Amino acid sequence: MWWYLAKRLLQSLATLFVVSFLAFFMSRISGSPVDALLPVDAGQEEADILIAEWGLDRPLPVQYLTFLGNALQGDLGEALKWRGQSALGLVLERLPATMTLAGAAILLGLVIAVPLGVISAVKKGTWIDRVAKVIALLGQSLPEFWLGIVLIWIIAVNLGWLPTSGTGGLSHLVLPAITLSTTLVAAITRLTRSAMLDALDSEFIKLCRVKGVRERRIIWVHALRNAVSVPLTYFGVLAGAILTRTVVIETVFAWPGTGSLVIEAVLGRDFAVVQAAMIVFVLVFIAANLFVDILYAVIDPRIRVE
Amino acid sequence: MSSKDQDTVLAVKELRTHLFTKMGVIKAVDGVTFDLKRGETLGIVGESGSGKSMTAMSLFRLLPSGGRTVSGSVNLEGEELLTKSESEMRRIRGRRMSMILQDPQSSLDPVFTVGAQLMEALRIQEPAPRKELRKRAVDILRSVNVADPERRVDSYPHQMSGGMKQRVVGGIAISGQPTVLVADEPTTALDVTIQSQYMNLLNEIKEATNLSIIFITHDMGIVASMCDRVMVMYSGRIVESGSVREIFNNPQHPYTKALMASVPTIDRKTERLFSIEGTPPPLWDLPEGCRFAPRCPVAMDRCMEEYPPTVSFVAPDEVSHEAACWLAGDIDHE
Ligand SMILES: Nc1ncnc2c1ncn2[C@@H]1O[C@H](COP(=O)(O)OP(=O)(O)O)[C@@H](O)[C@H]1O
Ligand code: SF4
Ligand SMILES: [Mg+2]
Repeated sequence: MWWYLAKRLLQSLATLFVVSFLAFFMSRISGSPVDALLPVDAGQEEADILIAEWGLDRPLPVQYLTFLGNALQGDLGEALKWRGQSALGLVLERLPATMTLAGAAILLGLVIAVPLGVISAVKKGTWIDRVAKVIALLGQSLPEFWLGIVLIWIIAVNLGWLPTSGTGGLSHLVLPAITLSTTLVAAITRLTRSAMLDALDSEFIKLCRVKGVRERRIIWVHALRNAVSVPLTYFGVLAGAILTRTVVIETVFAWPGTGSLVIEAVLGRDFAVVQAAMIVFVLVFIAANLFVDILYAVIDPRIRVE
Repeated sequence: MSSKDQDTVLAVKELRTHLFTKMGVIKAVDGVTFDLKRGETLGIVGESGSGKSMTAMSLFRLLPSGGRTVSGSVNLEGEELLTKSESEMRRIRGRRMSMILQDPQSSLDPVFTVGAQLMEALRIQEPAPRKELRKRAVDILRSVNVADPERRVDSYPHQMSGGMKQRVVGGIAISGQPTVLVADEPTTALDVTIQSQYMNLLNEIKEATNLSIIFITHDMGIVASMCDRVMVMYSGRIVESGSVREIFNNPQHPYTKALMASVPTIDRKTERLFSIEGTPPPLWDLPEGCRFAPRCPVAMDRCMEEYPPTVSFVAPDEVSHEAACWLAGDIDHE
């Protein structure tokens, strides 16, 4: 188990390194930040000063190594658009809002999807199963920004039940969390359902019945504990998808998280902030996966020994 | 009069279990009648798909989806099981009637320790403090010859060999001190030496507890070593039944004779268990007459039209010997 975790940690470091590399070069491909930083009528002289100040005149590999060296010390540079603030600081300042949104969406997704998947497997072929299938299909196929806008329009604008955007209290969280959770609900419902069907069909469930175990316990303890590792495995992947989606959702709902910060930074060619956000997102992603690994080992003893 | 002195613990009459599928109605069990005496081991043999497992699951009222017992009677020690409620059945399962499933690799829940699974069974039978349950779980593991039971009680199924897992399953099955134990091909997945160890264990348990066992297998060698009586099943019906000695020495039904001819002798693993040409008829489209007729080497016109009656023979050991074949009576008169 410890060896397994150590291995995963090492893999994570490698991932992080690759991502820092990609983050650095990709943000350079998108165009020179100098154009974005300077007023339109600025001359070459002012541009040169800026370039020298930011070290943009040095060769890219040197810039990257400097960046990496600083990054290892927790310094991801100064923001270009927001003068005088550290890029990492900006990202971290906005991170709690994003984590709240993502956490709420995940919680909502699990609370809906796992029972829905279990029930639709147990009641396979009945109307409940069909309803679950429709929900999963909709959640999978509706574009999130579209769903977000429709929700705002119907529930916030027309019905006036919830605020349209921004933060403050639980009521602001509801619509963006629902929107963000749709794909998660779709995926987890489907995965739970098929894993439950497999589990319920297995010999050990038959043996439980022969033993006289109650059906409720068979479903929610024996079958679910065996089935849950399937959606859990995917959950690591889904965590990445959720993080990426926060960018769109936060923009639609004007949610002041890292996602909307990224959009602002991209529009302002602030590669320092984009880099910092990418790296922080990857760190969060890695942490989520590590957490999933540990959970996985807790649930399934076969993993522990390997 | 040995067999008539023993009391009947399980009486099954005209049991019919059908599976309602998209393809049509599968008559998996189609009129099965038998008695099981106290302390008796009754074998059920037959090709795969002949309805052995469905018969067993019908006794427990645990059928796959689409399966339903449409008529008949299952009487356990004077109580009709087919009319019992699900919660009444749950109290019978594991306590008065228990079962060992075919595949030891998958019949234990992989995410719980074997101790937890044994304790679960014990708790259902009689709630008790954890410590007490654990002690009894260890005792049961010891009684089924699991070495080092104090340590093994905390093992997970994947940490055990197939033979050991199947002994745990056996332990779970006898934990409720049942009257009837159904063993559905319990050794098919085990290798030969482990197989004979396991059968010795079952015999020991049977001696110690006066258990009645229904032993499902397609291995005539196992029947010879384990069973008192045997029933031969074909396409959802019992085609012949009698004492093991009678069935081996004096088989009446052409299908039983063919089975005897294919009893493996030296190497069980490589021998084809059934060397009879052809396959059983599809259960959703059974022929009107004898179901074995398309494969029977001595079939007559009559066999195709009418299902043969069950003929009884007077066997030397006075255990009733019956066969359902138009020729069975004639052979007897020879
Ligand atoms: N879960 C199931 N769903 C549909 N058909 C089944 C199922 N289990 C068994 N059957 C059918 O019932 C018949 C009897 O099967 P079974 O009792 O398992 O045979 P045996 O145990 O003698 O090999 C077979 O034709 C098989 O196809
Ligand atoms: S009844 Fe006819 S077909 Fe059936 S086993 Fe006897 S001889 Fe063969
Ligand atoms: Mg079977």
